[in-house]
Amino acid sequence: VSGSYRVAHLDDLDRIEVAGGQYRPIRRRLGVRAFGINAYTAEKAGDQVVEHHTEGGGGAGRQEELYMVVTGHAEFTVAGETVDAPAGTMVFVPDLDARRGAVATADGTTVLVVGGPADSPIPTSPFEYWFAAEAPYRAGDYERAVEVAAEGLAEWPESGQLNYQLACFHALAGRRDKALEHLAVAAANDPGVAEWAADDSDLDSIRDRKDFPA
Amino acid sequence: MMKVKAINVTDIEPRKIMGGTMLWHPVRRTLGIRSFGTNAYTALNAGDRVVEEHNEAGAGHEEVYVVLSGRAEFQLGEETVELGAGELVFLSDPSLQRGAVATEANTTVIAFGGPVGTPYEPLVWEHDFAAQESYEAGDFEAAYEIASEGLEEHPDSARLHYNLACYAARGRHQELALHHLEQATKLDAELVRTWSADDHDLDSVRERAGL
Repeated sequence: VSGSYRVAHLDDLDRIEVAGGQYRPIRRRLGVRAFGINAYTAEKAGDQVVEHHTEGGGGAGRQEELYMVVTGHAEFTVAGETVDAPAGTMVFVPDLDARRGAVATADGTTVLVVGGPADSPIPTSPFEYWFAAEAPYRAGDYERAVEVAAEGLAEWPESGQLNYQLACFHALAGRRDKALEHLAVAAANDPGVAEWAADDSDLDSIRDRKDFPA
Repeated sequence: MMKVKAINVTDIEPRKIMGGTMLWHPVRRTLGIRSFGTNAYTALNAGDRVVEEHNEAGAGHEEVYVVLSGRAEFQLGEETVELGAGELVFLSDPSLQRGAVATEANTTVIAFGGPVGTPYEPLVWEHDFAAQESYEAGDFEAAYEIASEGLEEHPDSARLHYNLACYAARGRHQELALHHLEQATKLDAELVRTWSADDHDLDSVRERAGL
């Protein structure tokens, strides 16, 4: 264990026999506070790997849950629907009252579970907006890139990087004033902007303007 | 509301980012998850970046990365750690600079994140589950000790008090068992009535507790 990070292998997590399977505590082992994360293992096909439960009743955490089969193969039952889930399958259950559970259909099945409180959603991280804009940007569709990235302004009006990306897209789309507006917001919120802008050819069309950050 | 959405991580249409060498699988937006962040990344070749170099100071997120396939070298502040499939790394400090480069072809990493400012509340059942092994082994003192750690976070959980009553009763601490049963009954009499009906853990105090 290091001060700055903690590493664990799924195989090395504790195995606590519960409800016909094994509970593999991750959250308490690593000290995660921001969201719930645990794993469950069934050693034999036919064993319960996720206990049947809902998230809406007394004692439950009212959490939306994402289950991910990391090894083996499981069959989930969610609100009466059956989901065949080989390794790599992610099963997301947004409905707190949906009764869910899973049985292993292969030996050595491990399912990772991540949960967060459904009643207090968190903002989308700003990078998702510029990652999503990357495809139209690379295809030269700068209008579409602006549209996709600008969706993020509602949640992150002062994000330095988001405004910087918008400045680039606007500059490439030929809207120089708009580009400079975003660049000014970016420069006010991120000390790295002048350095990024110095050799970024996306901004060449506005480089000569007197309000270009230096 | 849809009750369930299921998809294989690599079937989430990847978007090319970082100059086209890194594939982003937008898990959160594909599944419509709102209460925590999650995204997966694939590097097709060894040497390609699989986690962008960044920190979480802006969002204030704690993060867990899980290597699903392949291997990757993580740069975490000044330290370097190589992780293979099935390994996970937790980063509690949002300001720590982090990133990873694949050391094998077809390396996929999934990231989970959430804000530290509004901590996730550990659930009551985690304390029950943690105590289960000691209980099964007949070490009721240890089971009580482990589960009672939950009282600080969940002083008003009928379920926790009920289970503590069971551990105490089996450990021959009748007064303690009666105290927890009384608390559980105040909080949820129906739960105590239903659960205690055929629960032999409480036999030693059944009469005194009026069950």
